Amino acid sequence: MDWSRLELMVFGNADKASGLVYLPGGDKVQAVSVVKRKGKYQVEGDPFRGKVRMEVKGAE
Amino acid sequence: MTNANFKSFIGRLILAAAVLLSTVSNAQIPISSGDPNQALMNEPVDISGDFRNFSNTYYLADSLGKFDPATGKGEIVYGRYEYVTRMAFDNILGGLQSVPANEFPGIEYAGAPSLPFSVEFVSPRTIRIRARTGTEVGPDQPSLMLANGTAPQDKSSWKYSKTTDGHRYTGPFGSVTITQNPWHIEIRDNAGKLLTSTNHNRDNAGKTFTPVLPFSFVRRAADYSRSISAAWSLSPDEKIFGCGESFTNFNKRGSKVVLWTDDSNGVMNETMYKPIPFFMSSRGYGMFMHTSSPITCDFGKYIASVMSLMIGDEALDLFVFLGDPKDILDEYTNLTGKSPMPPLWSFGFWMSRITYFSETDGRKVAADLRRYKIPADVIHFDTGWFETDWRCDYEFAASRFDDPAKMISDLKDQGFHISLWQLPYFVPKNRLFPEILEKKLYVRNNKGNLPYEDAVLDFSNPATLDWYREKIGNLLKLGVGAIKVDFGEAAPANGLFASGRTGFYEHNLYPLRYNKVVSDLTQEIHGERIIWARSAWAGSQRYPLHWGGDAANTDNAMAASLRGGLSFGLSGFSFWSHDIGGFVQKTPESLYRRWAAFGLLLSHSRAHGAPPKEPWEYSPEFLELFREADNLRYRLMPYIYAQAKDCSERGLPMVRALFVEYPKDPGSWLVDNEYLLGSDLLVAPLFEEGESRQVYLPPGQWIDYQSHLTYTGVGTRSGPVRSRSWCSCAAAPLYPISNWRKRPRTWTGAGWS
Repeated sequence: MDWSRLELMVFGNADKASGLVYLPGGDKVQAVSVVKRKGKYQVEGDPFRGKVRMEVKGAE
Repeated sequence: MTNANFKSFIGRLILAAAVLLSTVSNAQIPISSGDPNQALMNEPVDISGDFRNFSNTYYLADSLGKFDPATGKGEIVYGRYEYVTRMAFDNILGGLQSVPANEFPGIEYAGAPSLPFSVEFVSPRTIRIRARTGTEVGPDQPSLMLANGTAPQDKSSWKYSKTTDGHRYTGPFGSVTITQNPWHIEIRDNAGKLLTSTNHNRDNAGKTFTPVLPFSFVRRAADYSRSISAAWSLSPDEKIFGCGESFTNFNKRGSKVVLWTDDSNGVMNETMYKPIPFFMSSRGYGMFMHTSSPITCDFGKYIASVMSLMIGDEALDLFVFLGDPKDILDEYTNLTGKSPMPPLWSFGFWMSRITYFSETDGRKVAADLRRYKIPADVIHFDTGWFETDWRCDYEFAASRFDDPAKMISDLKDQGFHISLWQLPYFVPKNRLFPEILEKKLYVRNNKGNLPYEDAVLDFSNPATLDWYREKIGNLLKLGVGAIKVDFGEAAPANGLFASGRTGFYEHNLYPLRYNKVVSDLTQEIHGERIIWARSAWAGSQRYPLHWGGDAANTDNAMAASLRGGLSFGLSGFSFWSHDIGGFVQKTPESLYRRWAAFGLLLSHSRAHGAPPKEPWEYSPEFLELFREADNLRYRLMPYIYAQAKDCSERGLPMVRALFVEYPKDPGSWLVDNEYLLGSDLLVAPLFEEGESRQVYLPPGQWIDYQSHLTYTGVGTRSGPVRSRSWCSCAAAPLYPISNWRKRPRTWTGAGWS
């Protein structure tokens, strides 16, 4: 399992969604948020500072 | 051994195991119909009869004696009572009547004693109430049940005030009021609403014809031992949850619950592998009875307005927690410990049966798991890895394992961790039996002899711990990843332990000592908190994880498993599993299909029981559905792993009752046939054959995980069932999903790659 590449699946069509991510060996659970901009979700802030590639997908 | 011989060998062993289990199962008499003349070894101890006995003396809490507001310490004045009968219109009632002292010389003993009690504060949400029934020898000892051995004290959050008839302490989340006469302790929330209050004789006398035993203690005529009945009020619509892995009614209101660790021999009866002396109320409080003595809780079964916590111990040590379910669980696990995170690999699928017998078996199942593309991280060897099935001597059978270390290493290279079964009981034919007797590592009976035909390891004996650690340590150093900590519910009730106490205190503590020694050793050798245990007591959540025992292969057992898991999660345990498909027999395919979809959406997932359990031993259609459900688990692994970490930090359960997330929704308190995996994924297993089921949805928008159809709660929906259970996501949360793909070319497991 490649923990450096995660998909973030958003359920519903809210403008903003958040969830939890915890990486193996990590110190703590990180809250990750996405916001909808121009119809597409984008990660707001990156607690992993680029260590993890996060691809956002909608599940409407 | 030829293949034909091997099958015959398995057949004989399974038959032997089945006969054994059948015999044990038939011997069990439900505790509700227990006959004192038919006592059977290790039947649960229900002390409630001692509280309605015409030979005993009862001391009813009457008024407050002296009290020091600065320390919260004072005395309760008790009145002396005995049961008498009254006949009216062909009906006899037994009720309490005040009686004079009967001791001689009278000046030596108090007829109506004043005895110590105290109110202390542990945190802004936690109150500690203690009461003694007589002289206690020695100061408090560190408690294995408490995370740090002792409870902290909060001397700043609660403010004292004098009331017209007593004393009050007020904190940010509620208050405690002690009234002078009649003596009461009243627990209120921060809006002043009465949550519960102790029951006094005057609350009942003249107000109901039903005789009620109020807050009191009993002195038994047989031996002058004493036990407390802490009687508290119940309110209309109040519901009670917890008490460990209880398979009976989810809401305990109206039930009597015996807290005594027992080999339940199934998951549909009232006894428990994992009773926990903790519960929570829908009214906004929880209680932890800090003792390992037997306890019987009557949650309004005898009379709807009173819950009686009948505690075998001679002193009451009761912690009361204030708040919503999440607050209560957080506070309780602050006190008794939170579940640490198990290793990542343990969240993968465990493949097992009773039992793989040989290195050949182990290597074959490993190859088949990869061949049939069933994602898995663990292979478990159950009772058959010794030279003689079930006869645990901690040695791989030389006749069937050419090189255990190499097997373990090779399987590790293929991505598998190995789990091994064992137990703490030793039959006379076990080669270790003479050594255990010679070194006095066993529990003695009250005559100083062996209580049973088996020798039971005494984990309160430091010498036993050293001996046992060496045996288990050798296996872990060989490369074994996890030890199955099986049994542990049968420590002799009247046994003498090295701790200096009898089974009265050590029986329920036994699982905690047993869990702890294996978990600590695994942590020391591998740096990982992982065991696979059946029995538990308060504090065992610090040693994850536990599975649900020997479920039958039936729809009812599947449903009862979920009730047990929900109750267990409401008792401070974050992690839990059960035997997917049930244990006792080969699982009917239709049941296994539905159970797999349920069991693969827990914190931990293991298929185990009478063979076959391997999915490729069923139809091609089943294999594909199992693969689909297992792949869903691995795809959800980042969600599961993050939720697990969150649970371990907050004392929350992974298999979560709906009301934990939706405490303001009345309907969520009623649901015991669906759950939330973590905070947001609602799972509604299909407990009967069919293509749909009714699903209760809490408030909000819910989206079918697979079809993406949207539903809006609150209410019950009858929806189609995909993958044999119904999964739905709370809208707006974000799910971290792995890039896991079905049928990967190379195995990478749950771990980082």
